[in-house]
Amino acid sequence: MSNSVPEPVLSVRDLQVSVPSGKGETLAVRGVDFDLQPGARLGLVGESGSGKSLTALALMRMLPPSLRIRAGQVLLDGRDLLTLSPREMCDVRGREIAMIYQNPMAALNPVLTIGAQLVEGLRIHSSVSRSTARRRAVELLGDVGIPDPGRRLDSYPYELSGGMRQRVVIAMALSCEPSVIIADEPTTALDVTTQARVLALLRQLVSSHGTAVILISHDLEVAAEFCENVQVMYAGKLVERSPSAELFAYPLHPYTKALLESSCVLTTDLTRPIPVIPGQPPQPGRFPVGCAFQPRCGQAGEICTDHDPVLEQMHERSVACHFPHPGASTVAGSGLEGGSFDG
Amino acid sequence: MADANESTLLEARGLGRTFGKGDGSVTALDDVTFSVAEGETVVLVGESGSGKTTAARVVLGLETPDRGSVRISGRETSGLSERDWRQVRRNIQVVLQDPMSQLNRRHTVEKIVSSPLRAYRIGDKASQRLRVIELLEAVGLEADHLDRVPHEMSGGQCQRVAIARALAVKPKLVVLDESVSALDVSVRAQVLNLLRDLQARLNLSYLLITHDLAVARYMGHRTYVMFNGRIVESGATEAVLADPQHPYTVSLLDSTPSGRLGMDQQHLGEAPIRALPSPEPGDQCRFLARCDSSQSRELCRDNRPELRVVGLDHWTACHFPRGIDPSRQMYGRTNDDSVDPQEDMS
Amino acid sequence: MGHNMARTSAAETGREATPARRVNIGMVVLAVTALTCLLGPFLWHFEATQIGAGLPFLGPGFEHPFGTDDLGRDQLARLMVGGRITVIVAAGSALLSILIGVTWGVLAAARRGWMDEVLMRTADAFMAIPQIVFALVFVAAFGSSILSLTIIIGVLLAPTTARIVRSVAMSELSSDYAVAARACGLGRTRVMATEILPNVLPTIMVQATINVAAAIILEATLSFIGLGIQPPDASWGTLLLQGYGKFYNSAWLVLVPTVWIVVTIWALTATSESLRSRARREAAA
Repeated sequence: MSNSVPEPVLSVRDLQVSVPSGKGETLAVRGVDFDLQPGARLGLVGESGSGKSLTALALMRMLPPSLRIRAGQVLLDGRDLLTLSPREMCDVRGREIAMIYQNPMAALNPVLTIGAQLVEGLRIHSSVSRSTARRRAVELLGDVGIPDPGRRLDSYPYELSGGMRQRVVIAMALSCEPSVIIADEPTTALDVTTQARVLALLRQLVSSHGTAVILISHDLEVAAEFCENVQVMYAGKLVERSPSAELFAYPLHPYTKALLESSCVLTTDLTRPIPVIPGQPPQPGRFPVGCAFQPRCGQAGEICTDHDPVLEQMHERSVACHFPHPGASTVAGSGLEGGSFDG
Repeated sequence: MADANESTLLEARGLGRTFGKGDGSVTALDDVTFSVAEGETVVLVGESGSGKTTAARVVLGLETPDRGSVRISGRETSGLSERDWRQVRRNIQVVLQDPMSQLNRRHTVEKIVSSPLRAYRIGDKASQRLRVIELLEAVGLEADHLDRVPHEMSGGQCQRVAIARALAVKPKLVVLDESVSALDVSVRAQVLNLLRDLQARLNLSYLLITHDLAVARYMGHRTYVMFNGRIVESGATEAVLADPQHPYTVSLLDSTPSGRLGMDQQHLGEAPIRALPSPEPGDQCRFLARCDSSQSRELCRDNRPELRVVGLDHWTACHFPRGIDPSRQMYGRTNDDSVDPQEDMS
Repeated sequence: MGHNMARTSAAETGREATPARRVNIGMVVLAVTALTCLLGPFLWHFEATQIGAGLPFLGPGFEHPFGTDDLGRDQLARLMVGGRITVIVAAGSALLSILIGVTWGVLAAARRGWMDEVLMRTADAFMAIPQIVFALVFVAAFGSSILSLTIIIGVLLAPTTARIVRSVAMSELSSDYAVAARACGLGRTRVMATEILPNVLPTIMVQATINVAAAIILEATLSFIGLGIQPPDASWGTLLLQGYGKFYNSAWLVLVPTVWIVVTIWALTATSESLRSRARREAAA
């Protein structure tokens, strides 16, 4: 890691998103701040109700009609995306910031060949000729590991397997060389063996293109392996941000620690019940007062009901807790220190 | 494979099922054999296209196999009439994957959980209500959930209701078809604990269908790994997951981050980037196209491997299994329930 | 508040912004129209059959809000009495079409295979015959009393209803809760009755309102070509027919029934839309 801090390619400040509720509107994302360095891989992890998917959609300004961005700034290369007109935003989408969705079948138009869709994307954002675009599309398909790309250009989405479709979606996202890619649960709908390959592919591509990635996932392990830094979201707020290895080995926030311990993984202790977090994640409109995790937290104090803790920086880590947990996790060794990622 | 005896609840032999005809036909099941004894959890592990869901449907009587037989509590189920199936179904119930869509959105919890009781005409309205309350408590829900409707509850709560319904008629075997896959991580832990607890208390058997090896390891006494309609490896869960013999099982473990962490160094390394080719048709090993084992291929091309013994309670269908290594005890499982001193896992 | 991973966005989205109002303006108009037609004749001081209640071909005015026809009969009175007949025929035939259509569709969905084929091909055959031709034959055979018109229109509308009900029933049958119910031991009939039908009900209600609208139009058409209600009874369709002949004397004789038919159809459509969106919301919840 370099010593000087370069300008972040994406800077999010106090992002707030409201959703309709019984009595009008309520905040589902309650003030999210983070920076994304060029070429970095940042994970955003949370359960349902945490607001992680809404954050992703908000960054792309693709929220469903009844949801609104109530406040905040999203600075992409210095430009605030939230102040752009819809037309200007269309220009930015796809070209400077692209998204990979969870369900590849939903992201691809079933009645157009994948070649047509790739070419369309290319020609909207740059003024290349059809043949140039086609050639570039073949290149892209080859880059994402699709065999016989020249022929595949004329295939329809239904002719491809789930893993191949997701590769096409990745190709589309990369086609205009955006500076940021948001991957929303990109492998959840795929088979386990395909997941690993698609993630490895994504990893290789973003590092060779220098693209920054935000990976949204409910799976801590996947996020920790793919990303350099991971942020954990709970009840609409960020509660912790750490480099991956440290998140696993020494989680600071009680929720992160409890989440790790209640994950059923291959190293889970079989001789006793899995430690659980009592209750369930709160939904927008029902967030507890003060610290949202406090009703389920094993180490909550009085101050936790009165004051909602703020995300504070401690060296390279940040945590929003009145009693952050400095000790080691009881999760059996992460093995990720000096493991499978660089930097 | 456990020999059939009085305590064998479910026995499936040589199941075969093909959908469609000719060129476009898909073989969902090909010579699939497995069994579930009393009080044990048997896991069918596989990805999409492995046939595990079709196997579950055959067992439940929702699908008729082209070949093979299924015996439930010793009773052959092929060709059973609807009336006879109803009798059989008292002993084998199901919990599906999606917590909410498996419950009728227009029914209250009470109606949902009592519906098997009404179908089998067990008790009168009052006693049915009591039984429903008893069941709700057993799955960790309160009596005030009786009047709730599915969309007023969370995923975890809905899944508990589904479990309560499955237990209503006191079955011996419950089929769990990806029953925890759609739940949040923290909720999944709660439901897994509940299932294990219920198994111990009620001496239940489970046939668990999943793609998640961690869940298979946690719940399963015995595991059958399926690929493309065939069983490629089977045996005691600890044997299969600690020392996988079939290259497919190895790749499954390799694809899970925590699997990678524990794996032998020789299997670490960059997962190859190219997309996986489709399985081959014909009379050869179905896994051949994907197999990156360096062994000789001719045998694999001409001869479909059958399941054979490779270790104690451990079978695999491969001409070139990895070879048993007794020192690989990564994911060992102790079968007794007493709390053992924590083993050093690193 | 689903927690299905694939529906995370929906869960975080929460309920709809504006819950659609229970009663919309279409329903209000419908209620007003129906009430007027059913009770109005008792309250209005002119009789529909009263010849010479006013001077012939009067336009709308204080005495006669909708004017008079060639025989000096008050149009408002005729409209209300005609409306009665239209409402009875439309509601009756819609009800009949639902009864026949639901049974037809549910049977086809429940018993797949040859019975489904037979039932659906019969429906196709019915729908292939032009409705007017069908009506002609039926009227020739059974006459055009209110009862026989109700029956024939009901029968004409049944096949479409059957198709729609069958498709909804089939899709509900393949949904998780129906599969779970079967696997838990419920017999086929019980599943259809207690699990499927309640979920088909919203569709049936929507279809019923659509059928009423279709029935009104069918009846008006039939009466307009002389196959429907015969004088001295009048329905809106016969009023149209009679007004049509006297168009040059007074355009109101055509305009007034036309506007009323259009308004009623609009009200029915608005009602069915609100029922439909309510059904969709219930299904998605």
